[in-house]
Amino acid sequence: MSDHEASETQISACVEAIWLGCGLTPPSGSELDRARDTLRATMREGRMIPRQIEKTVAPMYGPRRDIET
Amino acid sequence: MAPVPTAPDDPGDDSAGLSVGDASRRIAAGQLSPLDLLDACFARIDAVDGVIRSYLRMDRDAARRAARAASERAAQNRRLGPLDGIPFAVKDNIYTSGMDTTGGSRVPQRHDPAMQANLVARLTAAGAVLIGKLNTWEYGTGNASVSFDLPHPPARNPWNPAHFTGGSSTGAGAAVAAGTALFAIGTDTGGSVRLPAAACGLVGLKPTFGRITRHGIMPNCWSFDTPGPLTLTVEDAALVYDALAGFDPEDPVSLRSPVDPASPQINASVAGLRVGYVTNLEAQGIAPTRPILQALARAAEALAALGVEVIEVALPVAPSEYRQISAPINRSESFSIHEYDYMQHRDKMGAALRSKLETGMYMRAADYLAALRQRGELVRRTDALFDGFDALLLPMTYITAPPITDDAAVRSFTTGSAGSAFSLTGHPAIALPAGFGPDGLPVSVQLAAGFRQEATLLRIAHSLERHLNPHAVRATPARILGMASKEGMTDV
Repeated sequence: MSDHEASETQISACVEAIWLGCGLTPPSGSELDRARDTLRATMREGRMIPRQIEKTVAPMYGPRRDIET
Repeated sequence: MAPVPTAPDDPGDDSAGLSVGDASRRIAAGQLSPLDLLDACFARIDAVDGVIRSYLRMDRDAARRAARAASERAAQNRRLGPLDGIPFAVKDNIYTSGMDTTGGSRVPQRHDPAMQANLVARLTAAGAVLIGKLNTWEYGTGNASVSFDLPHPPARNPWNPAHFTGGSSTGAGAAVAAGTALFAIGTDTGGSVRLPAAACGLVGLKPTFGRITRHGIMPNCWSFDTPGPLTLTVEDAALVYDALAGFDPEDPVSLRSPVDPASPQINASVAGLRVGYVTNLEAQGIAPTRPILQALARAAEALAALGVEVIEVALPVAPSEYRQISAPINRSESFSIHEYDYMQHRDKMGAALRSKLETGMYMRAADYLAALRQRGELVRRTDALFDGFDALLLPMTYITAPPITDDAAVRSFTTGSAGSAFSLTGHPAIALPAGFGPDGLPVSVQLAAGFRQEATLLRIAHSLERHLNPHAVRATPARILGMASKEGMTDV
C-alpha cells in the first residue's frame, strides 16, 4: 500500500511508532498533523529516487578518488 | 551588444568600498594602512549593521591588534602577501578560537572552544584580519525558508533590506555587499555560497569538493560540504582561493593533488576555449525569468566576442532536478550529524532546522543509498561534458532576490536554483554578477568547470566579469539606509 492510500490514522500510527522507536515522545495535535505531512512527503521523495537495477553499482560515498584520477 | 545594467549608485569614497585587490595594492604602495581599512569597515558596521544584520559577534580588539601588526609589516615593506591587512569575516559554523561558534543557534555546542578551523588559520597566517562571525541559517542549513524564530534576526540584502540575502551564508552575502568585511568565507552544501553571492551581487566560488579544508567546520552534509569565498570581484576570489587551496591531513576528504594557482593566470586570454551554454533549464514548468535569460545571452555573446567557442549543450537532467538526488542525501546526513541535538534540544531549534532534521529522521536507509547510487551515475554523465568543454554557462538562480517575508518566493529562489547540480557532483562552480534587474536587485550567472580546474574557471570568469560587471561596487551606507527607510523598516 502506498502512503497515498494510507489513512490519516495509519500515517499517524507510523509517526508515533517512529518517534517511540527513537525514544521520543510522539507529537500530538497540530504537531502530529505537521509530522504526518512531513512523513508522507519524505516517503514520496524517497519513492521518486530512480533505482539502479545493476547490482554492482555501489553508492558514491566518502573521499572522492574519482576527482584525483 | 545590449548595454550592461550598472549598479544603482556610486561606490562611495571610503576604503571599505574597495575590492581586496585594490585595497592590497594601495597598502603595498603606502597609500592605505590596514588600520585605516579596518576602521572603514567598523564605520560601515556601525552605520548599517543594525539594518543588514551581517554579524552575530565580533572581536574589535583582536582585529585591531592584527591590523596594527599588518600596518607595521606594510610600513617595513615586509607584507606576508596580498591578503596581509585585509579585513574578513567567517560564517558562524566555522570554528574560531577566542570567539564563540554557535551556528546561529540557541542549542548549546559541545566542541572545544579553543578549536580554530584550519582555513581561518591559513588566512590569518597570510595576514588577513578576522573581524568576526557572520549570520547564518541555523547550523548553516534549513528547509529553504527564512527563520524569524532564531536568537538573532535574519540578515538583510544590502541592495534592498526588505529582500532576502540568499542562504545559508546569509551574513556573508550581506557583509561583503555592504563592505562590513572585504571578503567572507561561507560554506556551500547545495549552493550556500553561490546563492547569497547571486542575491547580493557578488562573486561566490564553490571549489572542487575537497580542495579547501573542512577541518574545524560544523558539518552539515559530509558528501557535499565545501567552504568557499564570497568576494566583490573575481580577482579577489582568486586571491582568497590561492591562500586556502591545498591538502590538509586533518581533513579526510582533502585532495592531495597539487594546486594550480589561479591569480597568476586570471588575465590570460580565453580565446580558443570552449564553453557549453546549457539549454535544458526548465524543470516542472519553472524556467529562468527574463532578466536572468538576458544576462545569460549577454554572457554567451561576450564570450564569443572574446574568441571562446560557445556551443549549446544539455546537462543529463535539468539543473534543479539534481536536487531530487541531493536533497535525500543532505537530509539523511544532517540528521545523523545533529541527531543528539535533535533528541535533546529540538525545543531550542528554529522551525526550519527542526523541519529539515525531522525529514532526515524519516528518510529510509534504502532511499538514502539509492540516492548515493544515482549520484555516481550523475557525476559520471556530468563530468563527461567536461571532456568537450572547458566550462559550462548556466544560471545560478532563476529569479532575483525576493522579499524576505515572501516564504513561497524564498523557497523557490533556493530550491529552484541551479546550485545543487555541482554540489552533488563536486565540480567547481562560481556565481558571477551580471548587473541589476529592473527591480534594482542583482542578476547573476553561473560557470562550472572540470574537477580541479579552478584556475581555468576563474580565468573565464575574470574575462566575463569585464563585460557583465565592469564596475563592481558595494552598496553604500547611504543607499542601504535610504532603501530601509523607503521600505518602511522602522526597527532601523
